[in-house]
Amino acid sequence: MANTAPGASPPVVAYLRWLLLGWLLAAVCQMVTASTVLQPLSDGDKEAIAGYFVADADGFYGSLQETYHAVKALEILERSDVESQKICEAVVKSSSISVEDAFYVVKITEVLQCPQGAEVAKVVVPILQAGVVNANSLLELHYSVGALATIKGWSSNSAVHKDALSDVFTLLKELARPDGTWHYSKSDSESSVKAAGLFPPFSFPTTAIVLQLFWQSQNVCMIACIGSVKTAAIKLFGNLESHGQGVFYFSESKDETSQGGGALAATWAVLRGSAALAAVLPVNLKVEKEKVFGIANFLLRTGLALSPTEAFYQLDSLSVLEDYRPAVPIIVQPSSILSLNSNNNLEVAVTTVLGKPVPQVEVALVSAHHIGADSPPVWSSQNFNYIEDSGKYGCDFLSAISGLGKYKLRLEVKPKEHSSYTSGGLVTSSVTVVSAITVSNVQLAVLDSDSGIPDFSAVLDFEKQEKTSLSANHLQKLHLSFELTSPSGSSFKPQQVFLKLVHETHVEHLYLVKSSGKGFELTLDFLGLVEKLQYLSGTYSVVLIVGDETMENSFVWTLASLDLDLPEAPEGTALPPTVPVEVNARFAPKPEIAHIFRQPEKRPPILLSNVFLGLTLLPLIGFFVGLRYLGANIKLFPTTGLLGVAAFSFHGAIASILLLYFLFWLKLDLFTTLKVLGFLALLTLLPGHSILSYLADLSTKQKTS
Amino acid sequence: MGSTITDAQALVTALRSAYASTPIKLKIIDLYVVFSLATVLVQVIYMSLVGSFPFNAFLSGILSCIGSAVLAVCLRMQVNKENKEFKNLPPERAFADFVLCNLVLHLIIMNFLG
Repeated sequence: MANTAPGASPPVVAYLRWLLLGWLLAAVCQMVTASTVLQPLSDGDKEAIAGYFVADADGFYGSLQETYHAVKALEILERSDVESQKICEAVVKSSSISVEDAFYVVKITEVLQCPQGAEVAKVVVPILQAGVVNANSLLELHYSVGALATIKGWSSNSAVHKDALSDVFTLLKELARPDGTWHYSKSDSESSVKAAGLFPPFSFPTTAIVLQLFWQSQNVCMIACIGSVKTAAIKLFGNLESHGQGVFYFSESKDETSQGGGALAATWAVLRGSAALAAVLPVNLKVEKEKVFGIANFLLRTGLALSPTEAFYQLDSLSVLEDYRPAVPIIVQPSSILSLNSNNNLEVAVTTVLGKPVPQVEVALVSAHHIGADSPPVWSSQNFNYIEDSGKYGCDFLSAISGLGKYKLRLEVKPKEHSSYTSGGLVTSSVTVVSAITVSNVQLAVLDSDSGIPDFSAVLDFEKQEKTSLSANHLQKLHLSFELTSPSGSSFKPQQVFLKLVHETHVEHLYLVKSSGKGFELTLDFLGLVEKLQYLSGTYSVVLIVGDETMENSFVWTLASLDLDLPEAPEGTALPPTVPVEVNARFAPKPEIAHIFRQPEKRPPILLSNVFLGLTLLPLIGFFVGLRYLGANIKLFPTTGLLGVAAFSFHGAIASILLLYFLFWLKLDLFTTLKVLGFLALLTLLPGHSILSYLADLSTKQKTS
Repeated sequence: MGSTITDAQALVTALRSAYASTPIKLKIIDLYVVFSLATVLVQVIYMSLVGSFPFNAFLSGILSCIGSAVLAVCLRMQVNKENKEFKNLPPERAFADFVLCNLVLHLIIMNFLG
């Protein structure tokens, strides 16, 4: 599928094969997962986006860049409420502006097709030519070269000098990096934020324009330059990131934290650039079709843009994709509901991403399966015919299928002739064939419990939605029976068949109506249901609910109003719950739960605690008194010399350890304490050892002497 | 009845006179033990009055006193010259052990105090 580019090196081949495998896998996954059908940009979305761009009093939409975005976006949206005359005149008057402003001036003039082209050219050309020579970053190059290329034909002195062009090309080559991304400017180092990014795609339009200008001056570098540029382009597409489920996009540098703007802007830049490149190169730029479809997926699924700039990126990317040379993504939307009664064809709408019809494709139905039954394909390999003037393709689906139900379709869209449309592989969708179901033979009766003889019976007409009234007591039964027939004549079994009894106080009871034989039947024995009905006597409305996804006329039909007489509730039964009259009250906020936090424990009165604090210190005082009484003394305490130092530091160290413990209790943590303790222990150990050994020597001397 | 009282009196007097001959150092240690135990008593009375709410605080208080008392008793045993078991142990060494064990005990107590 993907041929190698001429002049590309073998590693690129291997890289491309790996990419191909990866994208095939992605395509297969896309087929397997039942993804929702993609929608083109709807009219409602277009209105919303157009609402972003609000003009000032002088016709501008903000700065020059914002005005260009607005003007271009509104042109894509085909809106005509742009004050082009005012903008053109204002734009011509600007002078001594920067290269960036000059670029936007030129672009605005081009979009609005201002008649003052030559005057604009006279003003901006010198600025741009200076910009080309002085440029040392991609962005400046882009602005200057891009603008010059646009105004090529507007005046006679806008040609760029040959040497300047070759300088530009050398600069471009310098800024390229091996993995497909580019440096922002020459002065940026490897590790700077912008250097890691994909700012590069600006290089594409620049390169495209440079090549164009080269050919004009017939430079020999052409073939080798084309080769290297193509390789760079393919490598760049290798940086495509996936969001899963077939959505591909480009993201900005890894350091950039902004999400949507970054990805949209980067994707737009790559698309614009590659489109410009593809327009200029003599050979086709090979990009995998699934990738292009994945980018379309990203642009359309990313939701509504949040700002005018994002809207511009989205719209401009989509307009590039409308006629993108490598592959044009198209959106296939089969109709999702088909009615037997109206007898219409199965229609498939095929449009571009912006909603324009595409007439040159062949739509074929690969297979159609009935969902639910494990049956073989109902139909396969049918072609669709183009319905004139509608942009849709149709085929007579109804004649081939057997009955109502949901069918899974697999469609294949092939481009005719030389066009390069892509629909992202096989399109899977489902269509539900519906029809009106006839309801007949509806009988409602009140039977006597013992004998089964109907006390009251009525046959109700469905067409007229008849309602009758009847009364019963707890000794009787209510009997309902009816038949449902599908258009093919067989009996129809819907997904939901319920009978609902609604009391006047809005208490509801639901009963399932079971099928029996050809129809449906239900008997409610009130004797057994008295408790379930919570002894509520009064008027009940009897409602029949029938529904199914293949039924066009699902209904809620009030059959009768039933006056039910039940015995009194015995003592002690709970009252029935009062149902809020307003249905929306169910969704109102619930009552707030007051959280009761755990009560703090009861502490003793402070006075008592303080008294006992005093009492605890009492034995200590008793200890000192006792010591004095015993005649303990510290006469032997050395106060002078080294020993004195040792003694003092020993006791001091012990005291400091006790102080440390006190601080530990107050605020320190264990780790700090242990660290300090280690230090203090050392401090205690050394003097302690010396003083104690001195004392030991003293006592042994005393013993021996 | 009377004989038991006189016997008790005689016992107390005998104990007292015997006790008077103990060295002062040992008496200091005994006083320290009595002081610790008195502190324990005060704490237990307090707890019985107000309940044992921060139980860890109560336990650490009690254990600190009892631990100190126990260590003091050990010191007394080791320092006592009449005790043949610890004849070769220099009393300064015993005192150093006492200090060390007390410091470790109090570190643990302070951690548990919370």
